Parts: sequence; C-alpha cells; structure tokens
Amino acid sequence: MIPLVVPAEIRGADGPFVVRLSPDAIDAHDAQLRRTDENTILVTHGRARARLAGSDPGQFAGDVVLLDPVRSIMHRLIRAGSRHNTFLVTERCDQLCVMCSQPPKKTHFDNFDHFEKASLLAPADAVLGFSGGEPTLYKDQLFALLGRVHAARPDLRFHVLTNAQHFTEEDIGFLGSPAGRTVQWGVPLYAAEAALHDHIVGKDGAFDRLLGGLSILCRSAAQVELRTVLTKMNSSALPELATFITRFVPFASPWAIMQLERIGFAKNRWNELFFDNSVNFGHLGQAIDIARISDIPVLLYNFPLCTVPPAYRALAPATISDWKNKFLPACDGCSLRSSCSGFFEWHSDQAYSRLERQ
Amino acid sequence: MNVNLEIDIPESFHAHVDAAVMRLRYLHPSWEMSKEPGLVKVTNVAASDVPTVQREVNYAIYRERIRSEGAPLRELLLKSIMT
Amino acid sequence: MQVWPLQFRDAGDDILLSNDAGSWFRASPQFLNRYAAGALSDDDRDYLLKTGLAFVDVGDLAFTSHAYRWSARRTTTTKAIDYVILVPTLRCNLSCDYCQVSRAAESAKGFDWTEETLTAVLAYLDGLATDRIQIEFQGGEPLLRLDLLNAVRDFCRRRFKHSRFVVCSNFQIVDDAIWSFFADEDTQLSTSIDGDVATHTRQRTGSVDETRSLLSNLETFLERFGPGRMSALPTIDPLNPPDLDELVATYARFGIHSIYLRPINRQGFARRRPEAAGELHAWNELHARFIDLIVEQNWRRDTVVEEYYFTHLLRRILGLGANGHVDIRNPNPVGANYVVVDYDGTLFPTDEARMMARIGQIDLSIGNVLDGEDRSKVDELNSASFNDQDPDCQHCVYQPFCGVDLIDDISRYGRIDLPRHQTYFCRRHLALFDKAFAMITSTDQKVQHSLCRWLGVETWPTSYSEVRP
Repeated sequence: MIPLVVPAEIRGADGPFVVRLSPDAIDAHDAQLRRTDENTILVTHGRARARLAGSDPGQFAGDVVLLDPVRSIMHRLIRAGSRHNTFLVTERCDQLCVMCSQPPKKTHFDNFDHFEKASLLAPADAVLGFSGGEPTLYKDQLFALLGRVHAARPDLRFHVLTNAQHFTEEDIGFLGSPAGRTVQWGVPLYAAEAALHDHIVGKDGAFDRLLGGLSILCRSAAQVELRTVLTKMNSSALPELATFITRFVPFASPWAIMQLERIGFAKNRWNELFFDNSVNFGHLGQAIDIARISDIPVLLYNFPLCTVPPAYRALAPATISDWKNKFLPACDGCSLRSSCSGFFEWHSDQAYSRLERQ
Repeated sequence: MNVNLEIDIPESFHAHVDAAVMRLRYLHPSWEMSKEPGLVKVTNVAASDVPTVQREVNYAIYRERIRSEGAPLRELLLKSIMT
Repeated sequence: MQVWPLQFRDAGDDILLSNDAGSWFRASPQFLNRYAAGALSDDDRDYLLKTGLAFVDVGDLAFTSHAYRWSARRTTTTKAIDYVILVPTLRCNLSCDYCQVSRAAESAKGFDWTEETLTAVLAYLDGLATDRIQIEFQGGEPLLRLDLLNAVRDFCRRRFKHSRFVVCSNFQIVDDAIWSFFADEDTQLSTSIDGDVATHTRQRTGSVDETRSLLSNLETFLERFGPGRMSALPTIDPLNPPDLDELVATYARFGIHSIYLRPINRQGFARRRPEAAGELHAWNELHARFIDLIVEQNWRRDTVVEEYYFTHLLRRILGLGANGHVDIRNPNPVGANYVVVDYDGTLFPTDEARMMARIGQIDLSIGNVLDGEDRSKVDELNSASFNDQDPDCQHCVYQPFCGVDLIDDISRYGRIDLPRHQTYFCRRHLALFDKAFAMITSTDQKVQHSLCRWLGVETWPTSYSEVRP
C-alpha cells in the first residue's frame, strides 16, 4: 500500500503550503528534496524545513505536496509517477449509499486554494480527479477553480465524481465551455427505476433529480462516465438498467460497471452486498451485450480477469489505483497478470469462490 | 367475384381522409376510389383483396393523422437541436 | 405526456413500430388501433414512458435523449477527403458480361493516364488536407499499368503519415513484379470470385482454364501473404445464380468469411441488357436464401460466415454509430468523403457517376486534376440527399435506419423523385429490413447464434422478441 500521507516534522512555516518536490529546485514553487542521513529525507523551501523518515528521496521526486505544520504531515496531493491523483473536495454528502467507500461527515475543510495551487503545478497532461463526499455541494467554487486552472493549464484534464443532483440550466454555460469540456463527469446510476436506485443511495427523489442532471449534462455535450457498482441488490436488474441506458443515457461514455470495494460501509455489509461474478456472470453478461449492441461502450472496473469469462475480458482494464491494489499468491505465474486489476489492498478470502491462474 | 367496398371512417379521422386518399391514388393507381363524408369507397375489388384494401385504407388514414398530429413535436425537436 | 410520432408496418401477425430516433418495438394490431385513435390505455402510456418513446417535459431526459439519438443517426462526418479511387487505365484483359466500368480493349490506345495526367494526379493528392490516405486502384485492369501504381504508391508513402492501398484486379496474369508489388503490408488485393467455377467462367473469363488459373493465383497469394490481405466480392445474377453452398466454400478456401453479395448491376455496359422482369424479386429471394443458408452453417460449424452488407444494416438498426457506409446513409451527400479520378483526369463523386458519364447518361463530373474541383453540380443534388421529408419515407418504419442513393436513382430512372416503392433501392431495402427485423425479433436459437456472432456479443437480448399487447 503506497502511503499518501506521510508524517513530517515541519519548522519555519506558520500554516500549510503547497510545493512541488524536486532534487534541483529551480522554480519558485519547487522545494528542494534530498537525503540528509541514512534514514531522513529533508525538504526545504525558503525558511521552511520538513523532515521525513525514509532513505529514498526519489520516491517523492516530482510530487506536488501539501506540507502541514499543524498536523505534522506531508500530504502527497499529486504523485508524479501515478495516473491516479484525486483531490478530496469535501466529506459532506447529500446521499448515503449503502456501499459508500468514503462515509460522509458533517464537517467540511475548505482546501480549494491548495487544490488550485497544486493543479497549477501538476505534471504536463495530467488527469486530476475531484471527489468527496459530493463535490458539487461546492459547485460554484469548483467551477471557478476549474475555469481558472484551465486558463493557465489548458493541457490538464479532470475527472469529477458527482451524484448530479445539483446541476441547473444556468450551469450549461460552464459545462459546455472549453474549461467544462476538459472534465469527465463520473455519475453513479444503480437501477432503471426510482425505488431501487433511491434505496441504494439512501435518498428519496435522487433518481428523478439524477435524470434531470443527466439531461443537463447531455445538453452541454459533457463527457459522462456512467458508473454502476455491482451488488446483490442490483445484480439481477442489470439487464433492465442496460436497456434503460440505451434509451435514456445513450451519451454515456463509458458505462462503467464496478466491483465492490471492501471499505467504508461495504465492510460491515459485505456478505449482504458482495456479488460474486466468478460463479454467476449471467445477468452481467446480458447487460453488457444489450449495451454493446447499441454502441454504448462498456468497461468493467476492478474485476480480476479470471473472474470474467474470456469473451468479456477485453472490457476489464487494470483499474484499481496503484496505491491500493495487490495480487494474491494464486496469481503467481498467471499469464494475464500484467493486464489485470488485481485485488483491492483490503481484499480478503471471503469474496470470490473461483480464482484461477490463467 | 368483385365487390364494392365501403369503409366507414370514425369522426376523429375525418380531417385526414383527403390526404390519405390522395396518397393512396399514387400508391395504388389501379384502385377506383371515391369518398363521401365519413366514407371511403373502393369499387371493383377482388374478394380476396378485400382485407388488404381495407387495411391499406385504414393505414393510410392512420399515417396522415399521426404525421399531422406529430408535426408540432417534430418542429419542437428540430428547434431544440438547432439552438 | 407526449408520444414521439410512430411509423408502422405489418410484420407477420404483429405490427412493427418505430420513431424518428430509431426506437422500435413490436405490438399487436390492437395497440396500433388504440394509438392511431388517440385511445392509449394506462398500460400503454406507462410502457411508452418507461421506454423513452414519450416524454413529459421539454428538456427532460427522455426528450433530450431522443434528440441526441435522432442527431447521432444523422451525423455524417464531414472530414477531409481521405479516400481516393484512381482509374489509371480503362484497358482490360477480360471482357466480363456485366462490366459496369466501360472497359476498353487491352490493345486500345488513348485510355491510359498520360504523363501529364499522372503529374496532375500527384499534385491533386499533394493538395489534400488529410494526413492519412486510402487509395483504391480500379480500371479496366490496373495491373496493366503497374508503373503508374508504383508511382502513386511511392508518392503517397512519402507524402502522407499513413497510407493504405487497395488494387481491384481480376488477378488473371501475375509476374514477379506484381508479386513484389503486393509483398508490402500496406497493399491489399480486391478481386472478384463469382461463386463457383461454372458461374465465374460464364460471367467473366469465358474459359474454365482461365478461371482455374485465377484461383491458383489467389491460392499462391494466400500462401505468400496470408489471409487478411485479400478481399473478394461475388457479382451475382439472380436469374442465373451460382450454387450458394459452393460460393461459401470457395470463399472459405481463401480465408474469406465476410462476403458482400452484389447483385448484377445493369449500369455501364450491362445497361445494354435492361433490367429483366422479376430480377429484383429474384434477387431479394436469393439474398434471403443466402442468409438462411449461412445461419444453418454457422450453427453447425465453428467458423462464422456473414453477409457484409446485411451485418452493416443490423448495426444501423441496433446502434447509433453506423452512418459511414456510402451506399446507405442519411443524409447521403454525394462526393463528400471520397473522389474518383478517371483515366483522363476527370474527377467524379462516385464510381457510378463516372460510368454514367461514359455512357452519356448524365455528366456529374466535379472538375479535373489539372484545374481542380468544381462542386456546383453536386451541391444542388445534395440538397435532396436525405430522406426525412420524402413523402413516402416519412411514413416508413425503416426510415431511421435507411438512406438514399441519388446516383442509383438517376442511373436507373433518370430522376430522383419517383415514389420510393417504385425504386430498386427502396424495394431492395424493404426486403432487407423485413428480413433483418424478422431475425432480430426471432426466438430461434440458430438465428440468435448467428446474430450474436455477427455483432460480437455472447447473448441476444430477450426484450427484442417481446410483443406489446
């Protein structure tokens, strides 16, 4: 498991600040990164000094970090060597999904300034994620940040996770603008009808509001990644959902069907929620076929390849973020390993019944 | 054995009979058609053709009605796509 | 609640219905009666709302999605011309029965590109905006001028980032230079194999030895270059067709499992023999028979055979993205995506247009390689290139999936405004779409097996065979 937050002893700074780490700090926004002794890494920026445990400064080279002297941490906001960098906009949320991986909290910490600063320092052509909670609870600030960052860094693209409950007609201006067009909106949809979807997301009326949000996204020519987490609650209704998507969300690109992560709420409800596709791919296969026949691109996220029938494996890219994935002993020598998602770091044996080296 | 057909047209379809008959005349130039209020007549129809002729007349009238009633929606669609 | 207007057509005992965005379903005749009379039941209304066939508020998701799908079906990618058909010579070593390209004898003079024409052609290619090019060499027999082919290919490889070359050849005569020409990965052969030896001989070579010689050449091609670099098409006279089983077997010999059945086209020299009575009916019947035959075969065997055009129509019906085949598109503007350069440097928007000029029917040329393009003629034609407002198409259940072919109408009838059902294009496609929908909505496992293989899926949606009461 790759650490995103590292303990740091920081002096010479009054409050948190964002810098990019570099062995030869040339730019004003760069902090110098080097090893001072066998087990200590030193970061210097102006008068500020941060000491981290470790012997290899190279692991942090190029990272854009938030150094917080109050909490004594270095938060790696953007890891240079990774394609998976996400800013946690807020922990507040207006839904309560049964499998939520980031259970909501009532408090909100405003880090928009840090995120904006970090975005401006991101590596060329990076894709930056924004998630939560529900990021569009702070829609105006978010749109403003995206607009300003796009103006300074037109090479960057963004991926924003949102429940699409808060879009209005007035947002079409931003959503359809050059800045808005750099965003891919990751929007969850769990069922083809209100009762089941609202039940899964824990909010009455969510489905209807979601449809309104999707309509606004379509009219803005926004890129929409429709996301459906696979659970026991919606597995048998997947074919109906697929048909619904072909008629109502034909602009989904892609429709991402996602396997469950055993964190947050899913941890305690694992047995009631986890759907084992390794022994039952029927409904999932039908749903995929319905969508594909109608030219809806489908992807399978977080499915180990051996749990997917060969005909569908091309749809399952390696998607588990590198900082939270692992392989099992059973994977040794598997011919598909390099293109496989592997498993979540917190995966246990109480999940798939059938795992087979290919 | 040839028959003369008289096809009753329900009132809600009356407004569309003219257009339907015009079209039927070029689709089936050999049919001898005429109309009276509420009625479409096709004379000299082979007995075996009766179901087909009846159906085609009804369909033509259906189509004119659907087309005519659907025109505002189609206009609305085009407007919303073009703006 | 507002229902998007529906078109309809009899389909066996049921009715097939569709709307402009291509949503379709089967229903009972009673449903049609209720709909047309404005007397939909509550169940009917629920169904229509649930399936996106109706909307409640302008701008709601049902409305927006309908508009999106309507647009997606009518989008033609107007990109820079990146596909050019070149006719370096009209001379040919064969004299096929149905030749539509208006060939000249092998020894004739004055039917090849001059040096000047070649220079002008290269200059024309140089002026294209694209960075990738596909060149198709046609003729006559292009291999009679291998020198011109090499000149063009060398130029294109230097000039464009990506180039592909297809040579449409009868492949009767081969020599070392020709083998060497085809040795490169970017060059493909497209040839004709008219089903079985007897038919091919009768329609094309006139001699069984010549036919066998062609097949032997093709086998050598396969040995040298593997499958995938050769494609072939059968031209079929429905009044005198080849044995269809033998046709499939012959193509399988060359690793070709995607077969584009082409009806004999009475354009060009074949116009001397007018369209025979019942020919289209015979064609429709033959095509349906072929589909049934390959469905049976696909069920019994591991390999899968498809009829290329039929599969394309299935994609047009079931998906949104298949609006790129120039034989069937809506709108179908002429001269938008590719251009033909004739033996004398004249530019034409399509091959058929070139032939029509040659037989003196109508001149749809759009300039020449020396002076450049002049599109005034086709621009006017193109204002009629879509079917949405046609007085017949607008009532047709297949309208969202169908298209127009203005050149075909002109070539056959000299006009583009005949009632649709009197045109070859419409009557052929009505039969094709009837067959396609009969299969799409079938519960026959053999049919579903082929459909799945042709469309690249594992299961066939059960909702497709439902019939609304």
